[in-house]
Amino acid sequence: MSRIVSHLDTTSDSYRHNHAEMTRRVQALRELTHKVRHERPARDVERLHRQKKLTVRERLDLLLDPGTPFLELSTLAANRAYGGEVHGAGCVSGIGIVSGREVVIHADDPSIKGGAWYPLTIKKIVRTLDIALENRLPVIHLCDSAGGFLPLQSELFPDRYAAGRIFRNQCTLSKLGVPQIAVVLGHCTAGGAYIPALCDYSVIVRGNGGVFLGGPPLVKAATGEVVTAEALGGADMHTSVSGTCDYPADDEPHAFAIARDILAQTTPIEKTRIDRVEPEDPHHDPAELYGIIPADWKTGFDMREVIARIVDGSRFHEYQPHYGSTLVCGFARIWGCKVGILANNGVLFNDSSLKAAHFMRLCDRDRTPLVFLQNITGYMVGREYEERGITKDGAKMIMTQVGCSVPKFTVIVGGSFGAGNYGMCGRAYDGRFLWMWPQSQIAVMGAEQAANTLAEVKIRQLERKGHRLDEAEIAAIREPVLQRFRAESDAYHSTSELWDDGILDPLDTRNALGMAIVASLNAPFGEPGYGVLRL
Amino acid sequence: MTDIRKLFIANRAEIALRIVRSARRLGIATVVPWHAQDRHGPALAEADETVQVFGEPPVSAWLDAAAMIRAALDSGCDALHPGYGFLSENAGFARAVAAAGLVFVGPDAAAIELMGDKISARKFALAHDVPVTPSADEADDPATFAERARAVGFPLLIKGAAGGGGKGMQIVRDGAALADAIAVARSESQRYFGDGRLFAERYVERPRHIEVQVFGDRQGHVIHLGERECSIQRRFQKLIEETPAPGLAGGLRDRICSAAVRLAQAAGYVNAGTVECIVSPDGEFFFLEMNTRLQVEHPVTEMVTGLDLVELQLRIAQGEPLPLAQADVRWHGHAIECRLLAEDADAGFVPDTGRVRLLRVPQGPGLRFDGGVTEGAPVTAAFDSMLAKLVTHGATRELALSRARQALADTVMLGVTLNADFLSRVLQHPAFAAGETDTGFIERHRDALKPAALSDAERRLLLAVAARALHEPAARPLSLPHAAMGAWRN
Amino acid sequence: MNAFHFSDTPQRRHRVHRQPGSDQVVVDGKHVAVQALGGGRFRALLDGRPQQLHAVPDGDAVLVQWRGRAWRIERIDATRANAAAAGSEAGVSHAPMPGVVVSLQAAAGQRVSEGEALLVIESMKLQMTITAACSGTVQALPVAAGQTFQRGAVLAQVKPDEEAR
Repeated sequence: MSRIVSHLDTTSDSYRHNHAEMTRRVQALRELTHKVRHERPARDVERLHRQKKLTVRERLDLLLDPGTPFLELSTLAANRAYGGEVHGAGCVSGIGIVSGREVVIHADDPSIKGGAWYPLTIKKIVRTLDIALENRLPVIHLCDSAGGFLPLQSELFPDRYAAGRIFRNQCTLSKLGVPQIAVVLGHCTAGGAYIPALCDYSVIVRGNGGVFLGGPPLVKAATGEVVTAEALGGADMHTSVSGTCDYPADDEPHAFAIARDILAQTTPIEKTRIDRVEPEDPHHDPAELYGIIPADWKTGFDMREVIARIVDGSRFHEYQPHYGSTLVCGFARIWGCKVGILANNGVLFNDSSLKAAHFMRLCDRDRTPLVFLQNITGYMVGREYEERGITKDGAKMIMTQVGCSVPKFTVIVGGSFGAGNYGMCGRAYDGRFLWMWPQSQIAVMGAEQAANTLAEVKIRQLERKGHRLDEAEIAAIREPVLQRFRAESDAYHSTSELWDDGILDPLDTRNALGMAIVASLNAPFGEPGYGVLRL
Repeated sequence: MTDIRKLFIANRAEIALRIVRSARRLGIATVVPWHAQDRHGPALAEADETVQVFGEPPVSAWLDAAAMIRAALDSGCDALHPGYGFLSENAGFARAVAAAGLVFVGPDAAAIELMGDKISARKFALAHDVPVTPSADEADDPATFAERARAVGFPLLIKGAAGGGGKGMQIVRDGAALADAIAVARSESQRYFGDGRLFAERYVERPRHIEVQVFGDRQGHVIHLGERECSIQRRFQKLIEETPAPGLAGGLRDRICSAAVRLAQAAGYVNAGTVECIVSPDGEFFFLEMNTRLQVEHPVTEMVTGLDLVELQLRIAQGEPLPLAQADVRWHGHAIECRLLAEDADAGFVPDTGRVRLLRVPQGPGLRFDGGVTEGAPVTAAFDSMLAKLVTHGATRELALSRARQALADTVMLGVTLNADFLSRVLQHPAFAAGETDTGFIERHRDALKPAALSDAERRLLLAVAARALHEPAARPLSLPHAAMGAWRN
Repeated sequence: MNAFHFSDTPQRRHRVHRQPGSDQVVVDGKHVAVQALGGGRFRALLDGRPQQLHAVPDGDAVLVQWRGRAWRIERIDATRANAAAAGSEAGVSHAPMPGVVVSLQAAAGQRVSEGEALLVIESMKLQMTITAACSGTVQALPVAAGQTFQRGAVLAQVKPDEEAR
C-alpha cells in the first residue's frame, strides 16, 4: 500500500487561517471539557468529603490500570440542557483497561445534583450499555446516585428506551455472557437497586453503600418501620444475610481493589480475528489536520488529506480512483487493523453511490470494518439525476450499508445533512461509535437554506393577506429561525442530546478509532448480507 | 609429637567450617557431626565425613560428651576440637576425651578447671600479681556475704560464680537495692547454670572490655598475640570486636598483655586462651576471667598478625613448639569483626527465626566472611542466633571501618531479620569512629542508633521491586494499541 | 493493581501496579522502572542514581534488601475479610448456625495457636470444629458439652498475643 501524496501547502494563508480557527475551537472544547470534568459547587465537594466519598475522577484513577488509555464517551452530554448545570449528564462513561481487560465503565457522579438521573442521564447510561452489548464488553457500574430526577419523571421513566431499558440491557448482557460488576458506593434505591442485583458481581462499601427497593423514609411512610440505611440495606446485611451483594469493602479504595481482583479472574474471551499487523504512525503530520478543515464549512477540501493524517503510515489503497470521485473509497490500517474507508469529497452522485455500495459489500464479505468520514450535504438533485435513478442508487447505498455486519465507525468531519447522513452511516444506522469534530454540523439541511425556506413560507403567507414586507421585517422573521437552526445543528447541541458519542479533537481521532476498533472485536461479526437492491 | 591424621570437630556452623578449612590445609581429615534439625551447615559439604548425632533439644547432642567421643572414635578420629561454647570449657569433657585416647585440641583439663571457676581464677590471678576488682565471694562465708559485698563499694556487680555470658548478673548502685539484687541473681544463676552460688565485685563504670589472646605450648613457652577490644555489647554479649584497641595507651597495653602472659605461664597453660579484662576510664585494668578455648572473635587477631590460630592450635596439640617467639610477632593495620545475628536489633534485639531464602556474601579486599548458614538453611530457636562473622582489615582503623560499613551494606541475607544495618549504624556513629567505646555504648547511644525513616521515594523504590519480584502467573501483557498509547485521554 | 503494605506499618497501604511484560511499575501514582537481573537481583533508579536491590518472594509477601537493610512487604488480598476491621472482635468465635456442643478441646487459660481446635459442635447432623482465629490465650469457653446454642452465640474467646513488633 503506498502513501497518500499530500498537496497541502502549509505556508498558504488559507492553511494558516484554518489552523488558527480550529485551534481556537479545540481550545474552547478543552476548556468546556475541563469545566465539565472538574468544576463543582463547593458545597457538593464538601458533602462528598464529609461522606468520605471520592470524586468520580479519583474513583476512576483507582479502578483503571495506571498508564493505560481511557476513551471517555459523551463527556459533554447535557451541556445545552437543564441550564447547563448537569455536567456530563451527571455520569461518566468510557472504555478503559482494568486488570488488563477492556471494559465499559458507567460511573454516577454524586457531585452533580447528587448523581440524580435526568432524562439525558438515562439516555447516556442506556447508550453506554448498548455499546457494551454491541461490542460484548464487560461493564463496571460505579453506583452512587440519588435516583431519578422526579420533576422530569415523565421523560425518564415510561418510554421504551428510558430507565427500564437500563435493566433490560443488563439482563441481555448477562444472557450473552458478558460480565458485569457493580461497585456500590452510595445508595441504590428503588429501580437503582436493580443495577447491582442484575450484575454478576457486586461490591458494596460499608457505611456508604446501600441497596434497597425503598429507602428508610419510604419504609417509614409505608409501614411505620424505623430502620437505618445501614441496617436496611448496608454492606454487612447484604453480604452476609441476604446475599444480594457479594463483597463488603471497608472503604472505596478497598472496593476498587476487590473489583479489580474480580475482573482479573474472569475468563478472557477470544477476540474476532481480522487482518491486523504491527501499527505504524501516520507519515504525514497529524497536527496539520487543523489547517485542512476550512473555517467556513461551505468551503470544500480533499478528504484524502484528512485520511493521510489518521491512518498508519499514511498508506491508502484507493478503490475505483477515477470513478465516483465525490466519494473516496479505499483500504487503510488504523493502529494495525485493516479498515475500509468511505469519505465524502462532494455530493453523492449515481456513480459515487454505486461505488459506495460495491465497496461496502467487499468489506462486508471480507470481514473488514468500515470507517465513514462524513462531510456531506446530500445526494445530487435535478432531472438528469432523477432520470438516471439517483434515488434508486442512493437506496442501494443505504440498503447495502445497513446490511453490513462488520463493525462500522463514523466521524462527522464536516457537515452531515439530509439523506447523505443515512447512506454514510449516521446515528440511526447501528454504527458502533459516532463522533463529531468541534466545527461539525448536523441537520436535515443547512441553517441558511432552512431559514430561507421557512421565511419564504411565512412571507408568502403574509403577502397573500396583503402584507408586503420590507428588508428589516424579512430579517426579523429570518434571523430567529437562522439562529435556532444554527444552534440546533452544531456539534455541541448534538453531543448534548447524545446524538453522538462525543466531540473529538481531530488529533484524538486516530486513538479513538484505534481503541474503538479493537474494542469492537470482542463481539463476533454477523453474517454478511443485505435486503433487496432496486437495481 | 603425634601427628593428627583425622580430626573430629565437636561443633557446628561457622566455627566447624573454620576448623575444617585449617585442618584440610594441614592435610588432616575432618569429621563433622550433624543433626536432623541442622543439616544445612556449611561445614558439612566441606568435611571429609559427617556423622549424624541425636538429641532433643538439638543442642543437647553437642552437649552429650559420651556421644561426641563415641562419634569421634567410631569415625576413626585421633583428635577432637571442641570449638567454642558447648563442651569446650568443660574440664570433665577434656578429661574424658584424653582418657578415650583422643588428642584434645585445647588446654589441659586442670587449666580448664582452674580458670573455669571464676572464684578460683580470681584467687590465682591475685596470687600472680594480676590485678582483680575488689570482690566478695559468698562461698567464703555465706552469712556475711551481703555485708562483705557492701564493703566492696558501689557500684557493685552481683553474679553467679559458675556462670557467664551475661546471665545471672545484677548491677547494684546503692545499698537499698542490694538484697533484691542478690535474690534475683541467685534465682537466675540457679536457673541457667544449676548453681546459685554468688559472687560480688566492684562494677567499673564505662568499662572497656579488653582481652588478650595468649598461646602456650607443651615446651612451656607462652606468648601473647595482642589485645582485642570487645566493648560493643548488648545484654553482655559482644557484637563488634576490633584490634588493636583504639586509643589504648602503649604502656597500658603492654602491662595488660604481659599480665596475661604471666597468668597463662603460671597456670602452665597450653594451647589457645584469652584473658579478659575490664579497663576503667582512668587506665586501671582488672582481670575478669580467662576463656580456655578459641574465641568467636579470633579472626581479628588473625587479620592483624597474619597467623592462622586454628593451625597453631593443631600444631600445639600435636606437641610441636610455638613456631614463633614473642619478638617475632608483628601486628599490621587494624581489623574489625561484626557479628551478624538473626535478631531485630531495632525492636529490642528480639531473636528472629525463619529460613535463609537468599544469601549473597560480600567480597572485596581486606574482607573475610565466616558464614554459618547456607541458602535454604532454617534458622530456629534451637541454635545460637549468630549466622555469620564479617571481618575487615585495613592499614588504618578508618579503612577497616569503611570496608566494614561497605561490606555490611553489601551483605544480602533474606528470610530472617539480621542486625547488619544496626551494626552499620554503630560503626557510623561519631563516638565509635572516635574510639569512645565502652560496654555501655549501645545503651547510651540507643536513640541515635535508631534507623532512619524511609522517604516516600525510597518506599516507592522498595514497593516497585517487591512488585517485580512477585510471581504472577496469570498476568498477561497488555496488547496494542493500548500498550503503546500510555495514559492517553480524550 | 494491588495494595501492598510494609509489614511494620500495616495500616499504610500503597497502590502498586505492575504492567505485565514491562519494566514499569506504578507506585502510588508514580512510575518506577525496575529491571530484573536474575538471581533475585534488581536494578532501579532513585533520584537518577542506579540502585541494586535483592528481593525474594515469600508466599504473598516479598523480602527486599537494599543497602544492608531488609524489609518484608506484603500484598493485601482484597477479597479476604479484613481482620483489622473486626479489632474488637478479634479472637471471638461465633456459632455459624444453631446447634449443640459435642466436646471441648481446650480450656480457659490455655495457650493456643491460630487454627488450633477449641471445641466441636454439631448441627443438622454435621459436626464441625471451631478453631482459634488467632494465637493467644483462651479467655473463656462459655459453653459446656451437651449445651445447645443459637446462631451467633459466643462459643469461645481467645485473647490475642501482643504483636512482637
